[in-house]
Amino acid sequence: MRRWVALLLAIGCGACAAADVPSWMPPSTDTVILRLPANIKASASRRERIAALMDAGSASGEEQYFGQAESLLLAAAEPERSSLNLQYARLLQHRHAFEASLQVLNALIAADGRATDAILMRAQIQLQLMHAHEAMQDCVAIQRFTNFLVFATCAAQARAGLGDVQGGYALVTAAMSRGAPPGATYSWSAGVAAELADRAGRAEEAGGWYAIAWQQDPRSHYARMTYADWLLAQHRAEEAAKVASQSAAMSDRLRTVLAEGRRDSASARRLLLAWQEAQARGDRSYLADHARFEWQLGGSLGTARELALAAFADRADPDSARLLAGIAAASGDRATLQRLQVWRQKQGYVDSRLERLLGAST
Amino acid sequence: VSRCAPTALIVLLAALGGVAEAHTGGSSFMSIEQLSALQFRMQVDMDLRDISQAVLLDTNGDAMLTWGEVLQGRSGIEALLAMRTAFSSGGQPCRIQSQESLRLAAHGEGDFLRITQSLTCANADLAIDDSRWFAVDPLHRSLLEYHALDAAPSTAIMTADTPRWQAGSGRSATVRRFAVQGMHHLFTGYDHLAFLGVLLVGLWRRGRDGTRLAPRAVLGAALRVITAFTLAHSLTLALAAMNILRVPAGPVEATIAASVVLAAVLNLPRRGVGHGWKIAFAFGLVHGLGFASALAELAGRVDFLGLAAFNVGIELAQLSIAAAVLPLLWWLFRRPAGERLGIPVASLAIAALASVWLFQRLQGMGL
Repeated sequence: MRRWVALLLAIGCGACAAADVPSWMPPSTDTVILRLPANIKASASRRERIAALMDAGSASGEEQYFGQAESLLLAAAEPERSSLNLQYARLLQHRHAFEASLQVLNALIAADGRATDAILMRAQIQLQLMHAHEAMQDCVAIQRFTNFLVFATCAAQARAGLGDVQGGYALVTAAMSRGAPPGATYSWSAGVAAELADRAGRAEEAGGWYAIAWQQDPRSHYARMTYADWLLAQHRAEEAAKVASQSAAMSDRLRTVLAEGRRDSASARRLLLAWQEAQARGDRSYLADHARFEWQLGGSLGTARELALAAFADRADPDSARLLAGIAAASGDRATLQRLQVWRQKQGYVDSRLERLLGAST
Repeated sequence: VSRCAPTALIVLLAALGGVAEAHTGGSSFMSIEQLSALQFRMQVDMDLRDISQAVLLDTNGDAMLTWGEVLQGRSGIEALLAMRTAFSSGGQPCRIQSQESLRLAAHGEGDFLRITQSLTCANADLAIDDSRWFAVDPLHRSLLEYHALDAAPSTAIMTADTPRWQAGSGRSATVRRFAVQGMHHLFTGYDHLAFLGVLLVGLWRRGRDGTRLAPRAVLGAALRVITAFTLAHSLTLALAAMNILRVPAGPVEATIAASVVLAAVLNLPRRGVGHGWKIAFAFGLVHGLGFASALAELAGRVDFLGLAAFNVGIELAQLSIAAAVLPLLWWLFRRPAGERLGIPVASLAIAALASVWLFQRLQGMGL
């Protein structure tokens, strides 16, 4: 803790205040200074506006739109508020308030046992909480009410969560081979197939699925981000930059900067400033991204390690674990690798990428 | 729900995948400079994404916001700011005297719209109420930097839980704040405490002729030690705070730890001349540089008043520690056996502890 505090002091935020940030004036009144989400109409109903804001957040990766959606939702009075509960649960899930989200969903499902969306969302939360048995129960429960691909994708995730990653991969790919209409559902299934292929150690196949997920839903921030990550891992920096540069979200900007490979570029400096500003306002969601920046762009491994440890302490999930394991392996930090190995075994999480990194500890 | 129709939720699941990220609200940055007793210059950087949710800026509806559209919407933007952020003093709203041209400010997350205004208020006790921002967006964060005429700049984060801010009430608030910080720094600065403690322990040693000082003489010697330490560290603290003297923190911290070890070791010979005030002065110079680092962390730049108040806080803390420790030492060392055993044991324990600090600090410097 003391080291973390010291690190924060060391990073500081010398240029966070308004007075210290450079200002400029666009050269012409025609200069475009911001792209707005096209589908948010002031005349739309509250429900439509919330949905549009969430859609804008999902597409752009700009978390602020989720914040605005939540604000709009919280301002609703009863009975309208109750009718927005599914969206509320989704927003709570998105900001990792899993228990609160589960409470809302449980109430919805208790009122309507066939509330497919609520059950499917509960399954996704159980997966994020690494409660694979409970997730599987929910996946099975929706089998009768939804199409096979949705059920199979959900069940494949749960199966992987139970330790059978190969089986999960086989299930989702078999379901996809039956044919399904292109679009968001197919993109979701392809994204799951890609993740499971990656975890099963089939990196090449994973790449194909990541590409399909992105092509099927090019607006999806998640599909864009995961595909860019895979390209970066394959050292295909130019292609990764092309994919990531389609959005100005912080996470996409990080991937663009990683693809450029320079920590002194203007975009890299801007990213660092954004993290300093986030730190100044008490936001810690950037820690993992900053750790990755320090690690992969030749910064201090010590700083990267401290940031990754803090990110893992905030959110002990597979992504944080893989990042921390990568940094710990690079810095020869056996104690952290062993700690992660214990965490992985306790969670029963199967991932060949993580296991390879943790191999350095044995 | 139809068996074959993909649910609407899938669209979002596909977008989120299995991973969710903590989301944030909007943020704004405010810098206020006090120009005179009643005049302030205020600069607010607002996120255009927030503004465009409340003010119709994209008049042609092409989802591309141009600089011209922002300029056209200026009155709406200023009305929004006036509605969401209230400036007042003594319960009276401040008056906006003049507005400067709109600009864009290059923040990390993107270009924010910069609005600069001059305010005239009823008195110097400026108050800001951002409650209406949080009514619209509970996740919003306002970062404030305030430059008062007579005090070091201060910063604050305004959130839904702390939506209001009030400027300190002038000089007395500054003096109190820095004095408290000075006391806090000494009470929590174990190395400074250890140094002071080991010097006070050394005062009870016998002289070369085998005699020991009377308690009253010990008190006089303690005053000399504290005065020497104070003079020395005040000197370097002032020089460092004024940027005249610049020494990297690593060597300073290591030397402070070394000073504790040395002072403790010098207590070990059973008899000897008193060395307290000389050591106190010599190493007090280095401890002053350590205090300067703490002050810099606290306030960045600091004016004379803040510096003096910080120093007074340190002295008050020192005197209170001496007042508590000296009677205790007198009681411990009142018998020859207590003095024979107690002084070396206490000194060795502090020396051992300080050696660990020295080792850690040298390691931290890569040595």
